[in-house]
Amino acid sequence: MGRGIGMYDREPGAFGPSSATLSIDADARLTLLTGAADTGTGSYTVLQQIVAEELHVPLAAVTVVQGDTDTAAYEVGAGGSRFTHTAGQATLAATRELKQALVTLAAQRLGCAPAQVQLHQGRFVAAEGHSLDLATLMAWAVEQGTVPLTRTGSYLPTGPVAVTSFCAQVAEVEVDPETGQVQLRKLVTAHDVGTVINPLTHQGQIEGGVVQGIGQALTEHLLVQDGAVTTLHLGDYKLPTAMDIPELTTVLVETKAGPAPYAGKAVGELSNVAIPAAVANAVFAAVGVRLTDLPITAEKVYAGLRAKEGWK
Amino acid sequence: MRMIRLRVNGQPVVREVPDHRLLVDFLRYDLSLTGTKEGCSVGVCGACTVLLDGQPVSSCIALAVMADGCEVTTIEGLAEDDRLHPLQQAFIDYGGFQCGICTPGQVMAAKALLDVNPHPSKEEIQAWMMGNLCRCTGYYKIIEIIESIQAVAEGKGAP
Repeated sequence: MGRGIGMYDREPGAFGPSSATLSIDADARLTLLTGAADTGTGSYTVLQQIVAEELHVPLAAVTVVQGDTDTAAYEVGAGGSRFTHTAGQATLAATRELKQALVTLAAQRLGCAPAQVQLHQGRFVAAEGHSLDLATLMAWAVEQGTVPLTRTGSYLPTGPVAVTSFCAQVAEVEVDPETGQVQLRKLVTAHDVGTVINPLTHQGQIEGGVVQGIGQALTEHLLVQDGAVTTLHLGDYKLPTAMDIPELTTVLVETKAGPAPYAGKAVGELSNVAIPAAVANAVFAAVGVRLTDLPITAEKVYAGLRAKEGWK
Repeated sequence: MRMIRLRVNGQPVVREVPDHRLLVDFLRYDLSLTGTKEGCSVGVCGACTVLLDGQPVSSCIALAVMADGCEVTTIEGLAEDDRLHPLQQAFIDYGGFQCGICTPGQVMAAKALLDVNPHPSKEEIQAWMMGNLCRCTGYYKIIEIIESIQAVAEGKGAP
């Protein structure tokens, strides 16, 4: 048995412009238009949450229309661990501008200056106490001809962000000294995170990344012979299966610091990178064999074990 | 060409198919049931899993003519009108999918397991589900969902 540590850091992606357009209709339903598509990471829900949070509406009141780059404002899209940061900020900008427009409208309706109106617990409240809710405001706004009300927000990062997103991992392996077979028994993955906007999808990213790292560490190998790839399909290229996953513990060290809305950071490309290092270090700790190319196969460990014993 | 008579998601289907038509292609193209996905075309990834007389099969290496006289269940056959099957709802509520490409296969394989073993252990689940590859989730939530679905369906707990 042996344990090994791997560590990795990268800052949240901070490149390329993001934009988002938010509209509200006569029934106070909100529609956010984004040029990016949610590939399964849950970005749809994160953007939906930002709108709902700012305007004090339930999630169900917000629809995200995604992926139509003909109609949406410019958006680089998901990649490089950027999306919660940049698209989140663009969405926040659009939402805050729309909120200001709604406050101005509410002020007209309430007969006071916009500076005297606050959105409080879902109601537009004037300084002297009169208030109205969003549904009432929008029904009135229809009659004023100001529906739908639309605002676009943009965000362009100005350079790399000065925050870390550390990941530290410990792998515990069991190595058979006769055959070199490596079993990954336990893994702890600890993450330096900002505010976690959606815990379910955040954890999904961590778990998926861990198992991708395990594949790279232990089972995945693209064979090339005379310049031709000879690993031709998933029967030959071994992805980890449900049987291959270790007991996993996740530790989140949450700090309120990060470039995404509400001080969020990033997690998309964090949990996968250091796994091979942790596993290789664990194998070394277990049987003293130091491997520096992947995947870490029983054959390689076996060769290392026999070499240590002086076998030819 | 051959005439096949089968039931798909409870409905009778009578079609003429070439002998070499794959079951996955028959479902997706002849019947427009595109919920079943083709991931590897060699029967190892499980994305194409459907139930043939209740048994999970890789439809990408099954022929449509093999389904003659059989009951085929695809992912489209799980929901009743607007009500999702508890497994489907649990996959939504507890993070059982991300990109979704493996998900129909995962759900069908899970249903087949729960039909024969309503209270599988974690080890039994892992062994049964190892034929359904997933790149996004790392399997943890899928296993937890299957392990706790009975309790979830009875309103007694969550993964």
